[in-house]
Amino acid sequence: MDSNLLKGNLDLILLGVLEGGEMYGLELTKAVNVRTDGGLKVAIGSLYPALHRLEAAGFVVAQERTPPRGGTVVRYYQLTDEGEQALRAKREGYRSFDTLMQNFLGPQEETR
Amino acid sequence: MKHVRLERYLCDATRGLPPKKRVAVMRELRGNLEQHVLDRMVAGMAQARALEEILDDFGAPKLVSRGMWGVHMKPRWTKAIVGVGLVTALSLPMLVAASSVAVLPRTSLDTYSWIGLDSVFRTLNWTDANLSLEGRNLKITKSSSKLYLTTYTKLEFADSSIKNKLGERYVQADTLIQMLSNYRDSAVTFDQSINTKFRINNQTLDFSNLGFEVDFRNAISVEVSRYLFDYVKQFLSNKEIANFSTIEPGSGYQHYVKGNAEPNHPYLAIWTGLEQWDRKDVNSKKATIRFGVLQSDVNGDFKFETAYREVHFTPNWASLNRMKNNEILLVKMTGCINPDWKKSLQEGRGLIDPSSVLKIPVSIGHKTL
Repeated sequence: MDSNLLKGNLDLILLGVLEGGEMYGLELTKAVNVRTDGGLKVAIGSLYPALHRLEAAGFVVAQERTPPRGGTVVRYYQLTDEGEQALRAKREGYRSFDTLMQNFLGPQEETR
Repeated sequence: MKHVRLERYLCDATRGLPPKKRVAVMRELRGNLEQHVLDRMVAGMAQARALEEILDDFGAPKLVSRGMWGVHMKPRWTKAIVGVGLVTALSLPMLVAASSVAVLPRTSLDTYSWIGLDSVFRTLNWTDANLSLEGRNLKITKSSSKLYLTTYTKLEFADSSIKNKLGERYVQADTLIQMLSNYRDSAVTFDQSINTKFRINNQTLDFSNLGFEVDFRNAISVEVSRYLFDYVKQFLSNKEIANFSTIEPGSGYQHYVKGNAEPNHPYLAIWTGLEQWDRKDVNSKKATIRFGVLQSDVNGDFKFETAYREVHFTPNWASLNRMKNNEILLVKMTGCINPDWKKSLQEGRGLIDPSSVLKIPVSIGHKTL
């Protein structure tokens, strides 16, 4: 998959995952992986800057906490009200875009 | 979890961020890395191998640092550039009229010393303000409110020698004091990382290896933090030194400190005391603060020859008489040591237990201490 497609929709992906509850970085990557059946893998180089960007935008808030199984503290990210609104807007925007893109996709090729 | 490659990754992935933010991002990355490692260990993998694999998966640290810089620093720089652009645009007519270029008010600065550094950050030599050195130099100057650390190089030409400024960082004294007072939780950086690419005669010179970083987060206790903080505060304010009671003449060249340091390990050394500058004149003493990187030997001892940096300030003679002990503070260096220097200094060694800060009384003027 073109990595630009993932990059362009990373905020939507992360906000969508956080809709299910607070998570820290590793949990987020796992959740994306599980939801897409391994189809999407969020690169670390993109993940943490994206989370910090979402936090700076007020879409998520972070809290440092030790994970249940111990270790160094991690930052748990949680969706804010603004984040929920942004998620709705991003979903709407993506659906509209997807609808338009259908006009260019043509019939799906069958795999033998 | 301490691991050379891990520490280097964290260091590189957070490069360019302000100290507090840097520490926070490091902590977050470290926490997540540890959880990744735990995942694999639960699956039966050895810790060392798990960590290596995770770091491979994480990819180039600069991807993170670039992204983080974009989030945390770019807005500041954009504001600054817009501000500078605006000011420049407004003042351009005046500048043209005056036919001059705005420069820093150097005349208001008081130069303390020049420090010569070699490629592994050992001291080559030091000198007073009016002399210059070949190679790389760190210039320390101070105005009433700012401490300037400036990297220079001296370039030799057939008919002249020119000192070229490579980059300069300055901080408000109050800011620096605040940074130092937060040693325990902050990675304080004496790093000249800006403007390190310099172009002259169509040749680009990269001096990005200049400077050094010392990560004190785990290496320093609150008590020592205050100790160091006080020294720097004195340095900044040039006030009297209150904690010394004896004066000893300085005439020795080699000094040794028997220590219980980790063998073959770099330590940040901060040494205060007196130095007799003119060996024939016992009154030619100057209070000094020296700092630099010292490498312990195989026995965990230190040998001083010229392996220190010096910072001089004009003594208050009344205060000199109150000086008591000469002391050296040795702080074990951890964390963000430039990998290039680290290669020479400690490559292959595990990063260190944070406990050891050695405060050793020394006596200037004796060959063996």
